[in-house]
Amino acid sequence: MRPPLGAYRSEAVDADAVARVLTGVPIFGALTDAERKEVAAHIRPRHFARDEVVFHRDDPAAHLYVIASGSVKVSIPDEAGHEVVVAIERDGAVFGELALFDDAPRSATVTALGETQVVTIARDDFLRVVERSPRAIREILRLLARTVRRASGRIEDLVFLDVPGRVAKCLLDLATANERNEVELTQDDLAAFVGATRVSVNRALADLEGLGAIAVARRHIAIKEPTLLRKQIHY
Amino acid sequence: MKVEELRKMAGTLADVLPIEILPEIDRQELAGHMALRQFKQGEVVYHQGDPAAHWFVVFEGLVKVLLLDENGRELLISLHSRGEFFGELVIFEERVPRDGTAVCVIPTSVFQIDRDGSLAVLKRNEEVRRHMFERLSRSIRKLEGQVEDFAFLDVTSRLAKYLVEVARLGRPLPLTQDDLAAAVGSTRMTVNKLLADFERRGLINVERRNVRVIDEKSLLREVRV
Repeated sequence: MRPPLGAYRSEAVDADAVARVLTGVPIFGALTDAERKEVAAHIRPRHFARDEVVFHRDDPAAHLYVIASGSVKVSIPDEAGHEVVVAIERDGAVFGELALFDDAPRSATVTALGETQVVTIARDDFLRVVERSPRAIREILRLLARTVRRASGRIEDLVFLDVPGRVAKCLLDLATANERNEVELTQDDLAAFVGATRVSVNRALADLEGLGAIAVARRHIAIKEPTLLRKQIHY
Repeated sequence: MKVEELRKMAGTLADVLPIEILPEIDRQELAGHMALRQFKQGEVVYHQGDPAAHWFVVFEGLVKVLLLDENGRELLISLHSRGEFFGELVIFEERVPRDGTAVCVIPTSVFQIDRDGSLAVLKRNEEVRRHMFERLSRSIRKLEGQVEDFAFLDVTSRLAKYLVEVARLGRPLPLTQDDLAAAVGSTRMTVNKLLADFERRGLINVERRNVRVIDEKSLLREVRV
């Protein structure tokens, strides 16, 4: 069992306990106990409330993040205030990893979806330890490769899926991230998530509700039949 | 082909690939895991869903990577010319099938490099690893840019933007209107109509398998969020 990181919110961080949490994250799992402790000594826990922004796109980037509990959305905003969600990440996931390799600013905005506990590690502290571990490097490269796949998957969804398909997929993804068959968000949020207008998302929701796949209430969507919802996703 | 010959050929890519950062012994080893393959125009290097054991570097020619949906619709996700890698995710992930189909746009020769052999070289060379990190980061940023375009821009904007991007590469890319349609997620008919409109207004010249940008500034003004 993973200990709750909320306990380390105070200044005193128990390096041994943090090291144990990191064991479950592939990049850190590849390190030796001693290396992991060395990384853990540089870690800072941070807490974010629901809808709080962890970092904004174009912010300077110098840290890597690991989600200890909760979940975040990774999204790309445009100038007019629209956004498209690239990914939803939950506990055990690493984000902000591009900052490790180039000096470019953040490529996306990350926002907490609920109460979320993360740990941050400064780039230099992290690299100093990891550069000695070929296994950890392999894991980082694998993480990057996965991010490449995820981004091309998102493009594929936007091009090949119709709005009902995208809505269905998004609801299933969010429900999986929450580990509950319900999703709390407004129709505006949902429109942003799937890169469509509120009107077309509204229509898609009404259709999905008509099929009996979901039940829509104010700021709340319950998933009644996940299988039925999955059937609406045709590429 | 002899290892020595392959090594010499790969060496001629030094202006686009940091071959020199490899010590002699690793260059020799990598060449031992390499084969040169030649493809005709339209020939497929690998198919989406294929098991993967190699990665590729373009020696000369042009390769497009397509994502295909169940109905045969195509999305052109990237173009790779001389000195550029493709299919390189295989180096980092085991037993993951190809997520796209790689097709030669013109007659093309590529170095096919064995995954397992590359891993040993990668493991020993920090600079090579750094290079790979940077390449992957760059692809991710590029893909995130594409996600943004597909979410926020209409077809006219996407086409105008794509034409400017391709023109800025500084060398004509022999793309058909089907390729352009696949790159901006539209149909050939729509792209054809838009190109005719851009041409009529003096923004571009449509030539056979090439679009020449005449007025980049006005073309960019077509990009509206």
